[in-house]
Amino acid sequence: MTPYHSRHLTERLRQLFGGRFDGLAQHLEEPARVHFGGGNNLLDEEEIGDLSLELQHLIAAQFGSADPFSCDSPEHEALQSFFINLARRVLARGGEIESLVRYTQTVQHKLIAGMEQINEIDFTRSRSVLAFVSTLFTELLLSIFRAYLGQKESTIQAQEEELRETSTPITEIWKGVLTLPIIGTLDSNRTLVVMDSLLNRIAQQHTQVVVMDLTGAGSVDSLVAHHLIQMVRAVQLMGAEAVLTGIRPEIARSLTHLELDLGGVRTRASLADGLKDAFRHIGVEVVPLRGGARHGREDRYRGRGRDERADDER
Amino acid sequence: MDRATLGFRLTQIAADSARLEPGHGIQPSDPGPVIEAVLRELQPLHIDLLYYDLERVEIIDPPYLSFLTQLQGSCRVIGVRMVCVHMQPSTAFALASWLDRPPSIEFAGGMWI
Repeated sequence: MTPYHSRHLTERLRQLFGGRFDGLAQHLEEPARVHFGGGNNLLDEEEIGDLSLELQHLIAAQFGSADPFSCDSPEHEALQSFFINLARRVLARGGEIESLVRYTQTVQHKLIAGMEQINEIDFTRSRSVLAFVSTLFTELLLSIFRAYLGQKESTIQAQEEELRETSTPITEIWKGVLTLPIIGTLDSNRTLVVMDSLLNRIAQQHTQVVVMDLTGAGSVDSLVAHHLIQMVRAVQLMGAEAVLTGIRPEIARSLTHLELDLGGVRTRASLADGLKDAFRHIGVEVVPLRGGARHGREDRYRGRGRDERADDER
Repeated sequence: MDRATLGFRLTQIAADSARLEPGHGIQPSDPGPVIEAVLRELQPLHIDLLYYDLERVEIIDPPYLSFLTQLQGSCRVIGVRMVCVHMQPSTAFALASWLDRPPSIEFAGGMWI
């Protein structure tokens, strides 16, 4: 807003800034009740009373401040914070941005009407008063929109994060064997998340084999292939064996076309083949139960890994 | 120069294996003295397997990788197999990002080979 000192203050503006504010809260309660109370179930009566009273004090502080036109004054910042906090509270409780905008617009009208009634001065006809209040509330509406966009952005980020985590579940399918189904596209952000979590799991669980299944992977361009090879290398550097499975013909063709060095990378046709290979690597052989019935544990699997055998003996 | 000056510790952990823990004193840019000192200490131990413990190594840059490759080659010459163990996830992550081919060094998760 324009600095106070460069403004020509009309008589009405002087009267507005020096006016009485007692009882204004009652005028401000109605818009809150209409847009947030009752069936909207966003604020209860006590909250509506409290916020209207707080708003009255903040408006009185802004109008009575050394420079009511300033957007940088502490009084204006306090008023902005009030609307930002209100927006966050209402949105967090499931309210709509539309209710907030309509509330703010109604407060603007009720403020002038209320001041008119309390001070018995005709503010409605003053263009300077209307212009001042309109400019002030435009600023406040912008603050509400910024809060709304900020909240939307953090919601989207949280959803993306959740989607990334759920779309790449790392599962310990056997002691020492991790499986990582890669579904969709492997972009840089996702590679970072997956690698971070995969490498830490390898270190924590002393993983010997990681089976990466590409059955659900999207198309593979040079960047995706680079990420894939980077993941395989990192797994190998951690001392684990990497097995790539489910490479579809078109992906195989892309990898060949890109002339990527897959030397030292074990590949198997399907996830089942990859798991078989992983078990063989750790010295485990899975065999069907005899006659389908429950038997002693020796019949369920043969040649179990060192650690499992030791666990059983204990 | 002794091994404390050169920055490593060598411990025999079984009849046929030993563990080498590098310290911050290792100078990958001048690998000669360290490699010679390691081999000098390895020979009297009559071991087949050397575990190079990377647990406290935070960054493996090209000079360090070259040093490891040279050390592994030298160990092979005297009949000792060298395996790098305990690489930290962050180190592996950073190293994998700039490697353009698989390193010729052998890696394992722990000392169970």
